[in-house]
Amino acid sequence: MTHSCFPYSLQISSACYHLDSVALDLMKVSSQTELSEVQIWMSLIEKASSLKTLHLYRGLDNSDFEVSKAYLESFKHLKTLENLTIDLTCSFSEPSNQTLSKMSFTHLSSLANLKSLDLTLSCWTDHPGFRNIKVLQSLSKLEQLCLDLSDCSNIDSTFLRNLALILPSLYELKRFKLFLPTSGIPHEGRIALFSSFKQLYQLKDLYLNLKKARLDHTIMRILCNNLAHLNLTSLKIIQEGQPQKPKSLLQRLPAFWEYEQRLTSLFSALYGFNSLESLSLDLSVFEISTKEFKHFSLALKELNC
Amino acid sequence: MRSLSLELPRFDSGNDFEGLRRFLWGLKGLQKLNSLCLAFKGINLRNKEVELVTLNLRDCSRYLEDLELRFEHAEKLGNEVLEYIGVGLQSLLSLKTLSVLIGKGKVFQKEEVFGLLNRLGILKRLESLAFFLEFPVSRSEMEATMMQMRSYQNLKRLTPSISRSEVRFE
Repeated sequence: MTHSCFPYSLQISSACYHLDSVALDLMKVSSQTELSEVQIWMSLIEKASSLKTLHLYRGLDNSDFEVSKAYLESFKHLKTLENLTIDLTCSFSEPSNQTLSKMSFTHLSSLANLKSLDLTLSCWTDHPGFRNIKVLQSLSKLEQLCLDLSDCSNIDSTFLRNLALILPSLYELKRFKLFLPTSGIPHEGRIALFSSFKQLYQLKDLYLNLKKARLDHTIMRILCNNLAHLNLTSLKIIQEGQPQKPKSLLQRLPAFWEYEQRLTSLFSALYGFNSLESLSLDLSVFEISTKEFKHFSLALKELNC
Repeated sequence: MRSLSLELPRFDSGNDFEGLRRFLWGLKGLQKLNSLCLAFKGINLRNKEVELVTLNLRDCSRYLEDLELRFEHAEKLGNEVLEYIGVGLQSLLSLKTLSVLIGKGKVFQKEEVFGLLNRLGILKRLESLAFFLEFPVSRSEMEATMMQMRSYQNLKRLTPSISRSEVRFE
């Protein structure tokens, strides 16, 4: 949708009174879109008394920041909403704590019937803040959560610890999809976050995209130990990166003294997933020993039960 | 478990095929699999291991419907590898979708490719077939072969896209 076709969109929006599902792709809307037009649009959406699903691909631009805020504020009226997708990929770069810190998701707390939330905050130069992430606590019916923090900078330990505190309060969470930033995630924060997974008692489906974040065997062990107690039916762990060149014997020597390899804990955790129906692992950036391969084989046999 | 997708890790030492063979033998146990994707991204496989992959899948013949195999490094593969693949896969009678990729750098003879396709003629339930291989062939020969395959299989998706470097059915 472009700016010039807004009158048409207003006509379309009048049909929203009767719709139960609306998808808005406004990624290419001119940054000069006037706030008043968006407010009219959203006021019509608000009156959609039976709206259950809304997909909003908005993006976040510095020049129409107020418009984005207006969109978020209008959500408080969508009481019947059950499924919400918001893409707020940031398209501008500026020092943190300037514009993004003013962005508020607190209006989402009114969506008490929400069962599925897909929140893309990719490329943010600042983390969404505790105030915003705390909104999740009010969404007690949430069964499905996708949180995309890829390419965010400034994701600090405090933010991840807060997220770790909030996740277990989502008692109904069955599907969780998390995209972590490519780099710069503090060790302590990841430990706190992964440790919280063990309290997601209803979780059936976990998708974890670790991007290019470096995983040492401690982190891997913590992640896997906390997954082992869950009754997962689907597990997908992705770590991106290019395979390294083969190491020389001298370069491999330190590994001989490592008590535990990174994949060992993952394979051990597999033994516990008796209900697993689907398993997807991208292990191409890891190195594996003969012993670990054997371990993997045995674990897979267990999963066939 | 019904669905398994693995991008396999690299060896931590240069030529450690022992562990991989153990893993491949383990595939025998996965008899209830419905869908399997195995990608060898960082491992330079030899004919022997490719043969093990397909042979150990034989026990999955009852339920396996979707199979994707990606051998991304082909430097150590001999020309007979297509025969091994054909022999192994022809016992997977439940297959509906099959995709096999053999990485660039390996050029096959057209007779080897046609031999593989002939072997797969026994897979009567096949609906979608994709091969990512490199071999020289004329368009008319390829189309004739595909027409022949269509005549005795249930293929719904078999569209030719032929270039010099890659032949792909999808």
